[in-house]
Amino acid sequence: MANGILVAAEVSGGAVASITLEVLGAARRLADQMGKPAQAALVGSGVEGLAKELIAHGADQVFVVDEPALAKYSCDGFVAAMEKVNAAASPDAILMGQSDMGRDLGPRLAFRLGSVSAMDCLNVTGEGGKVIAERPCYGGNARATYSFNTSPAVISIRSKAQEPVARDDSRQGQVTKVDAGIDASAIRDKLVGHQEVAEEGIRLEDADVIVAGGRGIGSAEGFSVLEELARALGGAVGATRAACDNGWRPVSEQIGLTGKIVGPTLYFAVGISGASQHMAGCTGAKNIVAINKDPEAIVFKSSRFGIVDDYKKVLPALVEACRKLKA
Amino acid sequence: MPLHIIACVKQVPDPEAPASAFRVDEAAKKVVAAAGVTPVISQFDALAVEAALRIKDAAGDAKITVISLGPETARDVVKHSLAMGADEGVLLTDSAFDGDSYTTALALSKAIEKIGDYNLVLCGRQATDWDAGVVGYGIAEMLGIPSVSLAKSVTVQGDKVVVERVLMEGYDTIEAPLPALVTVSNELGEPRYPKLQQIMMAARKQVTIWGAGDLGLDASKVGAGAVRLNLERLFQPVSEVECEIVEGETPDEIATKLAQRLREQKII
Amino acid sequence: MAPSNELPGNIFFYLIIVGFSAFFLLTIAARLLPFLKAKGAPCLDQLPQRVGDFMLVMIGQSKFFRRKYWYSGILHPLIFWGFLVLLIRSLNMLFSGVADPLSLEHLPGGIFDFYKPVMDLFNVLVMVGIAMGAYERFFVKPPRMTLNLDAWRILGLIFFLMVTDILANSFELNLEGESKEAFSFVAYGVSNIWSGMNLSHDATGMLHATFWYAHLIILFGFLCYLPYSKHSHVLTVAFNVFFRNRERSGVLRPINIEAMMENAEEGATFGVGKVTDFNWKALLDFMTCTECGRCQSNCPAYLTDKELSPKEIEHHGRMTLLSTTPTIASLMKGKPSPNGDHLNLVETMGFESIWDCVTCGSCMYWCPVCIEHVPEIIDVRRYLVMDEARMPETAQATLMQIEQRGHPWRGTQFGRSDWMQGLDVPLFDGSQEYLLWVGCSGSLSERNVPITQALARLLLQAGVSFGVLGEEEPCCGDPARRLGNEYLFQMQAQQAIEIMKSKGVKKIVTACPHGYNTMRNEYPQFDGKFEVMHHTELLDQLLREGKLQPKVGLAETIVYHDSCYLARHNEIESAPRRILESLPQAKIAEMERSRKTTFCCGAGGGHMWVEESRGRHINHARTEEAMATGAQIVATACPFCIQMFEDGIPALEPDEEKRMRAMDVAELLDAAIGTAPTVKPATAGEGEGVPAST
Repeated sequence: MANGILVAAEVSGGAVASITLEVLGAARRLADQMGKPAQAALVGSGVEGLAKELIAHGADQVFVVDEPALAKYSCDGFVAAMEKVNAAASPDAILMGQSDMGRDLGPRLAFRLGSVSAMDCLNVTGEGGKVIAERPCYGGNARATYSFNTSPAVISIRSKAQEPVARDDSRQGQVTKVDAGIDASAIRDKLVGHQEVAEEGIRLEDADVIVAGGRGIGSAEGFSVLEELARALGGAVGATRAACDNGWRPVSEQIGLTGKIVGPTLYFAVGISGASQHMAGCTGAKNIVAINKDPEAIVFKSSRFGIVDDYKKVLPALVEACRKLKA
Repeated sequence: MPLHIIACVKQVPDPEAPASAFRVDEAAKKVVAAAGVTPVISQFDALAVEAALRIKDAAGDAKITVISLGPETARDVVKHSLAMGADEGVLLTDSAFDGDSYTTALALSKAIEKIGDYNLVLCGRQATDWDAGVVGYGIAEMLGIPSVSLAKSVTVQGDKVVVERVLMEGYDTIEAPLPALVTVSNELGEPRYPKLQQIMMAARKQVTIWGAGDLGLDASKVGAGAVRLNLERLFQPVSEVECEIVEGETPDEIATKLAQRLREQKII
Repeated sequence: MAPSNELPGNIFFYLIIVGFSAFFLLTIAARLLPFLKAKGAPCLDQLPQRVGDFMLVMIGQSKFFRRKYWYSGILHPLIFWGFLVLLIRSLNMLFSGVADPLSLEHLPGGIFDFYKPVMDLFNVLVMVGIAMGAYERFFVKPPRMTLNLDAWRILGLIFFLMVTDILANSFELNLEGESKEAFSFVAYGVSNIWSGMNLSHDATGMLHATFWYAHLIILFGFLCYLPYSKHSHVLTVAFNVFFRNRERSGVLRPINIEAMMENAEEGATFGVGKVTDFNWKALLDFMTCTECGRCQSNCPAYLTDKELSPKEIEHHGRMTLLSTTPTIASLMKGKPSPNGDHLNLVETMGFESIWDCVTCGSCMYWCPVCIEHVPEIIDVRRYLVMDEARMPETAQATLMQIEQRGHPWRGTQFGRSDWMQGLDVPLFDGSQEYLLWVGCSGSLSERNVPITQALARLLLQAGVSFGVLGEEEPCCGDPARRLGNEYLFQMQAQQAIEIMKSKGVKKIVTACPHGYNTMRNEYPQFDGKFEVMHHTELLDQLLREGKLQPKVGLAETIVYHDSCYLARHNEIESAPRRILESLPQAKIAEMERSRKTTFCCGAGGGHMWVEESRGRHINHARTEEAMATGAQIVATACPFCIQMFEDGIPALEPDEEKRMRAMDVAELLDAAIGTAPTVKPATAGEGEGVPAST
């Protein structure tokens, strides 16, 4: 007896991860469509206090598994914990973010539960009581929609694809503790080390403005004017895989299917042709401005504004214009 | 006994084919193979083979078996892996396998069990056609072994596998006891270039072919009959954005105009 | 009478001859061992041409007569011809030394007497040559040369050969008081000094014998020293010139891969990984190089500060070869073994050097002794690629790309027949005269597509009967071959030949010099014999036949850049220039390095797709040369050259208004004919190129 849409919440730095809020938004809308409650699973150690955050962002019911062995993510530990939550909640669908955690947890959990997963989805709807998930495939060249023959449907949601619901601290919800009894020694995949790659300035994922360059920039030096524009607008610089492969920019700035997925308000695509593998990384951008010498470049097809010219001429002028506007 | 590593590889339509050659038959819910575009080994799967070879190089001795599931033509990707340096190749081919990731994972796990005596299973992080990133976990779950995903390096230390797992920012180091399954990401590096001697040797090697019956699978309980994930629709997304080309006599004029338009639209 | 005709002189004489000869022969025997074990090289084809070529290059010293090296062009022939002329006297010294009746002096009609002034003249000319050489080495010190003691020893030995020759002759004149003494005018002049000094007969005889033996010892000493000197070319050059590869310089020879696979089990080597894997002609090259450095000072890689110097390739080849050559001592013990360890060929030559080569053939063009650097470098590449899979990342990506997708243009958004849209170009079906071979670049590379279209319009306009292969056209194989994957090349070449044969292709025209070279010169290795023309040849012919008539004026200065594979490797220099001259109002400029002495654009040898990570960019160096002419347009006739210029021009000229344009000869002619539709200006490839496959 399925009775809800369950979100596997993710905790990052002692707070609910922003992607979880987006997934909660999706779950809330799906639950409303299907006339079922939105549930959340809060798995971790010392995380119980965050349950009210989840409720404020749309959860009706929160299942908390709070055990020391779950202090850090592990596939074995979290799958086992989610198995227990699933038994307690018996949801129609389990939603999670396509994050470091979600992409690892989702598929294995689905197989554990005798079901199936659809990963990296852009949207999820409940048509006629059926959960339908839509996801890009073939490097972003195609889209597929799926329904599920088994339950629960495990679905991960791409970051920046869904809007959170507005925070409402007055919302009420039920918090249920689930005892999973996870024994640390039973966790086979053990975390033994962690290395952060420090990033300067604004994180690409958080940036409101991104100035991205591709092969058309031509050199590492060419990016300096992109940096200037990013500074003028308080944004960050991104790059395509081609630019990173050429060593013009660090891999941490790579945007695309295998790089970062970003969703800024304004995205400058400079010297970028618009190959789907790159565009998959910025489909969440609200406004794309393409600057390319080639009027035929397919990037213009997904851009709101376009300039057909050499970036070397236009960008310096644009930096000036933006500075004036901001002043 | 030397290590035995199993690498799973898939043949996919060339992801680098011109976008103009990409077509979807919506009625058949299939991607139409473009003329002149030859299928290739999925990039991450070539890296799974590479990771296996690096472990073999480091250990001095190891046996690498590659398995592919697909049509007869997928023999090419098995041969490619053999040319890279893998020792044995198996191709699972049977119309009964036409299904979803459940059947794929089931058939692969049965084949791995049949091969037996393995220490490590390596897969690509996702196949570059459907980009699902699911099958590896299914194999691990069905075999009951631990899984670690998105490896940028895989080493075997004693009876453990040590994996550097790629994160959005940085990486984790994860250990798991053997046998285990690891999925490999592009950060691993480049797959090696086959030496001619090995290409020639690979050409002479036999690829073992197994069907559903060989794996003890009931054809009616796999494939189309056991689909868990229903493909409802497959289509090419059309961009609904109308692009406004900003023009002007001078770069300054163009830039000023664009800045004004962005301001009007409350974008900046 | 020679001093050796009686006791004890004859003992000395035979001791000297036997001693030195034994040492020399042992050395040669040791040196020959690796040659005897080496692979064969085709060396006796085209015999009449070989003889003619030998007379011209070896006897005529033709490769020395080049303006750039005029100084050496004087001094070397002087010494060389002197060497030839005086060889007779040295032989006569031996003959008469054995027994007087054998002396050439006794030839009928006193023929030898008439030869004497020539020899004496060359005594002096050789010394002039030596003085010039000494001056060059001591004062000029050209950077191309390896300046060391070895050269001084050689110059000194030759100098003393001359001195002792003259002195011995002069004393002999006084000794014998010959009637025809004035024939040896130099020796005669010197002998007059001795006459004035009133030397006794005995003293004269003593001095004669001294210088006679001195000459003999220096002569044999020189011979014995040669193999140990970098001037061993004296011994080898004649063979090296005679047995040179008679094919065009752009040709690489095939490896019989199938046979190698069948005969050899594990451990077959497909290229050259050890010096002993080279064929004997390459080994002879190593022993023939005198390190004059003409190759180095004309090598685009060396001149842009890369690791490669063709001179060092030869030098290192020689060092490596000598490290495997048995010592004389070991030879005498009957157990030939080298002294010390074998040098590793790849490490000695240098991995980077092997990959820096753009196969432009400049080194081979300039080499006065017909050394074949490029095939040797590619042989090592073949080993690195096929046996060891060791290559620069971008070379590997290119080969992988060719293997998987049948063309080198990774990430192209074009299909092979996309360029045909809007043009009425028929598919080749055997009824047409020409097959237009479009090539990978001509159809798949953004900048080259408009060139293909322009060419097709011109052919249509001129009423040429032609067709194309469309989607069926494969890669000709040139990039795979130059990047060292001979196996991949042979598969591609065989496929291409098969397709063309099945369609009944007889004549091919192509806009790609690399495809031209491969199809014209290399396909016959696989039984693919076609008549191949470069598009500039056909267009030139159509102009001369009046089938194309340029009328639209182009009041600009055009400088033509010769593609290495057209001008140097295949001697197509005038056709493209005649096309440019036919353009109304156009002015033609020339670069210093043009025609056969052209300078590579940087893209040859597969380098179009290989990252140039060391030194300056070759294309920047060449673009500078083109820009220095003040021309508004640089005209090219190669799909790679044009892209290298389009890349180089904006890098060197920030002001877009002032920028030179790069255009193919066909594009310029197309514009002048007036059939070109209003084409959109070609945009430099701003495409993403490499869509991440992930």
